[in-house]
Amino acid sequence: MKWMSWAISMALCWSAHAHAANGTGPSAASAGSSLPVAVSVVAGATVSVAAGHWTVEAVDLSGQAAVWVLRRGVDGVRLSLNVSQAGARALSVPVGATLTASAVVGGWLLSQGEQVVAYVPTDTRQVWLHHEELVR
Amino acid sequence: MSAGLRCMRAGLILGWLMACSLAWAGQTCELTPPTVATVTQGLNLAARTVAALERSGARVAVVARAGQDLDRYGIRYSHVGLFYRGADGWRVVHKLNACGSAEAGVYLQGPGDFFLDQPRDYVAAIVALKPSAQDRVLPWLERNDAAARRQLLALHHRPYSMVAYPWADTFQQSNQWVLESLAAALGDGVHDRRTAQAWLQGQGFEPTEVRLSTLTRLGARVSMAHVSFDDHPMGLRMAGRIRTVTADGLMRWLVARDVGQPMIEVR
Repeated sequence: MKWMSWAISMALCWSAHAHAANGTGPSAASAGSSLPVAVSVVAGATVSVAAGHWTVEAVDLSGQAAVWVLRRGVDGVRLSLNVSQAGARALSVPVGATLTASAVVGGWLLSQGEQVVAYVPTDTRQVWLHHEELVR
Repeated sequence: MSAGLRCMRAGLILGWLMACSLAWAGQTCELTPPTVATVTQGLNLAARTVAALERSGARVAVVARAGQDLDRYGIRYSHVGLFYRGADGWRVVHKLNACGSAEAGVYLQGPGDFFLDQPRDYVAAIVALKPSAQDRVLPWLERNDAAARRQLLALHHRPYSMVAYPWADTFQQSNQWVLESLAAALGDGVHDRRTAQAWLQGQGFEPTEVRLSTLTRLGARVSMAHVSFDDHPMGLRMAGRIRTVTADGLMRWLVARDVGQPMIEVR
């Protein structure tokens, strides 16, 4: 059964079989790698701590980036997030959904249940998430 | 049905199952968003890796991740990237297979992305390049102009097989692109893949060899676009001796040739 054991390991892929292109371009069929990343955040008030539960008040998918307008339940603070990745457009985060923000390395995560829907960077010294195919 | 035909049919079915398993594993094409737990773990490992890179004083390093369980082959790490310190922190350049296809591209990513593939073990290995080697590689990485980009991608070859033979130029897998690019940066007279491979042979690089049966090779070949054995010498292929570039072998060679500093493990 050596062949079967090898086959199973091949199925698990041993080498550099890695994530590929998310976002725009010809490789967009593969969405495993990069998270949707917020490229800008506009807050109606200074938001020093983003953690908490946010309600999606509006979603605009008409432009290059997805725009989500969020309102925090505890204090009514509003945020407008521009999320760059094409993947964000496919997530279909509906108006009225509740997203949870939690602090992580370099920023915070927005999640719906256990699923991450976007990363919001706050670290100005280190870009933790970035995804770009290099071409000649 | 003869035993041989039954065996072949089993192999083909298994090949199909392997392809399904790839999709199920969510390595490349999964549309389901990652979970808070896996992203947090990946980012935490990225932060520990960056901290270790900072402590090392390096500006360029080969960093490996343990994406797949290769213990049965005596291989610990599955994939390497070139990390460098740029104006906005650490970045990684590495080659990624596009969704199980027969092609791959070279990507610039943040260190967080590098560890978001839900590795089998949240561990990284760092081999910082020696200063003289860093000086030759860093300009290709940190300069964001067309000339540097051409140099960085000069040896990139899009046709991909994850078991590409290291002394041929039909395909190129991810670790092989890093190795050949380092050869181009470090070796005199290296201007294409063939001269890079000749230089690497002269510098004592030895590929890793694994043993694979005919049936398993056939099953993989017919069902997985990103696996091909066509570039391997007939004699070795028929004997089931498959040689390729592994992360472990690459890092061992860097240290042995005094191009890299001793390996640092990060957990």
